[in-house]
Amino acid sequence: MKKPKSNWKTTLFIIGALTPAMLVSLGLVVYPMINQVIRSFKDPKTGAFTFDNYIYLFTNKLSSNAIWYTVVVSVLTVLLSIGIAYLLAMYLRFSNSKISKTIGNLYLIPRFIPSLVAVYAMKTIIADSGLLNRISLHFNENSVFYNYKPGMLYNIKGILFMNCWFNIPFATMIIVAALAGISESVVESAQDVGAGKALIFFKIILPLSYKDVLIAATFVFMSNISSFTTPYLIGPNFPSMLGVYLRKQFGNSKYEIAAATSVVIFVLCSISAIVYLYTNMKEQAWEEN
Amino acid sequence: MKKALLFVLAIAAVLSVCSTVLAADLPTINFWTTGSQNVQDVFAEVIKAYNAKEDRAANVELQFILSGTGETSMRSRYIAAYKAGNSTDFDILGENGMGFLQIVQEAEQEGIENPEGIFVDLDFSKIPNLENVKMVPCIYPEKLVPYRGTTVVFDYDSAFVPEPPQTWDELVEWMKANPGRFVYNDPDTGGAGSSFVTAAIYRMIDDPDAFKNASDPKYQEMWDAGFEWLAEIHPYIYSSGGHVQYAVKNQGSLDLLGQGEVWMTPAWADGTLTALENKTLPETVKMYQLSDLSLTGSDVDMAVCATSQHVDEAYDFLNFVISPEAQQIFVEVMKAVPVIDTSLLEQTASVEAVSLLNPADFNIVSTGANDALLKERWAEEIATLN
Repeated sequence: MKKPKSNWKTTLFIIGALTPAMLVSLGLVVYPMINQVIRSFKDPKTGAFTFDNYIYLFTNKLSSNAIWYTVVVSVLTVLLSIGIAYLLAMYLRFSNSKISKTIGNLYLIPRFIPSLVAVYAMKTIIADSGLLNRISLHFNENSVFYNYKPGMLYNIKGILFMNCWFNIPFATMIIVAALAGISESVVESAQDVGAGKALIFFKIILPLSYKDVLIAATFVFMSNISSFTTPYLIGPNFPSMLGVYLRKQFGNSKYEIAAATSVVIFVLCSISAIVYLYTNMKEQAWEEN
Repeated sequence: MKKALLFVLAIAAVLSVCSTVLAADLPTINFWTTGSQNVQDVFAEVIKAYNAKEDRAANVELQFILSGTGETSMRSRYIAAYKAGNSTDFDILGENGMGFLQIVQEAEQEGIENPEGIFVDLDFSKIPNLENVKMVPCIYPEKLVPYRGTTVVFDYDSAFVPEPPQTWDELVEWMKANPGRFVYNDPDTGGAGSSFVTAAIYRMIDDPDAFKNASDPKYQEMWDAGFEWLAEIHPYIYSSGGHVQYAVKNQGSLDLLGQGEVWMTPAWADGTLTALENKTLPETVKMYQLSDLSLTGSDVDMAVCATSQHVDEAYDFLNFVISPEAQQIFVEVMKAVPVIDTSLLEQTASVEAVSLLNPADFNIVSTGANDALLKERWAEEIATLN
């Protein structure tokens, strides 16, 4: 076959189109990342190679608690929000009621609200002097509801609650898309041969959607490892999450500790990135068969 | 293709010629500063007024860095720019007195030979308005021009606290009698909490010069009594869900005060007055100082950078900032304490409100490099107490 004349032009065009993206990611992602890794092994005074920053990070009370706390918060957020999102997604997919359709239209709204606005808005409701408390003041003084203080702010409950608020819509969106790909006929034919609801769920729905669930979980995990706004505004003074801790180090000009903290965040995110890549590659293997 | 290229080049050439002509006409000088949003708001107004003047010496541009997003980077950036040589856009820097001390200390750490030389020694005859200025900078008087004062005070809600405690000892008794009704913000997140912590610790040091020389490393060993005191009041601080919680940011304490969750808190005077004007604090909130020791305040100053190519033009702007016209803007927009006598200003409600704060009573302290150590120790010893 004769090669099209303009082939080299196409190649040039592709290279030209890719170059800006490539340069941007090299300059703004790869270069600073390498820089941070190198800096995290440097002594702040002499600039010599040292493990001190990491030793400090894992032995200091504040930072070691921050690492541990961040992992706990992120894992709990993933479990809670993916669990709730899966149930919600199934309801949205398999129910045709009016309520289901209304929820289907509304559930994405939190995605469009800036996080700072959302956190402040939630604070006015769940603060100890917030909306819930003010409503409770209208109850009879002897009632158990009188002067109810939620006690949700400045502890892990508040962070988890807020994280669910942000992540459930996102996770639901991904899982709904996965469930939409399961055709009605597959479910119906299973029902025809007498499969019960539990069997259909475990043999058909779950196997066909778990990859997307894992992808959603990966993204939720990654965004929460480095979260800042929520733990900064409604988290406790101690332990703080890594994002807040990182900012403090930066604010006090401890750039080497800050770099080491960034690397720890990066490593934690990489773990979930590996899960993500692994799931995606498995999918390709399945497609080949 | 060639024609198009030539056309673009021609336009670029014309543009560059134009801009050099304009620049020759009036140079542009950059004013760098950092702080809360109100600092940006006020300088936007002041610079607008200056750039509208017919007889201005330059066009001023505001380079603002929001506090908490990199006030340290302003220091580092200037020092890096200084090291790099003269072709930089740093002309004037605005900071509080302690901030300037920190910049100079950082310059010293970075190995700059004459660290104080990063700012110009001023020729005060070129700043005639200085004769009205009654505030003296806490440090480097030959380099700094103060343009406003700011101080931390105690805010209390008189609806709940008709008779506030008058001394530090009475304050402790009051906290114990009213557990959970006092809060100060995490010193790492705002100046009000940091002022409270500094005052609480340095007042325990048996040395009359402790506040004046607060940056001296020798005091670090004498902090123990102050930290013990902070630990002692810890159980009586505001709590939520069973845990003591220090407010986040200066605004965090004001929010708790406004919602009636706490009745007393250290806060910036200007922040309080602005909140009262905006009705985010109830009218019953009042400000005062304890009689035996005021919370720390500061002079906020301007300095001309040694890297500036437009030192003479910078003088003209400094002179404008301390003129009655500009000082009125500082009072109206951010409720700052003016550096000139309030009788020189148009008498408005804002001027009346700030005239209660006398810069002469300010407890000015510069902890310098000790500041970061103090905050670090607070985070390790007090925040972890729960």
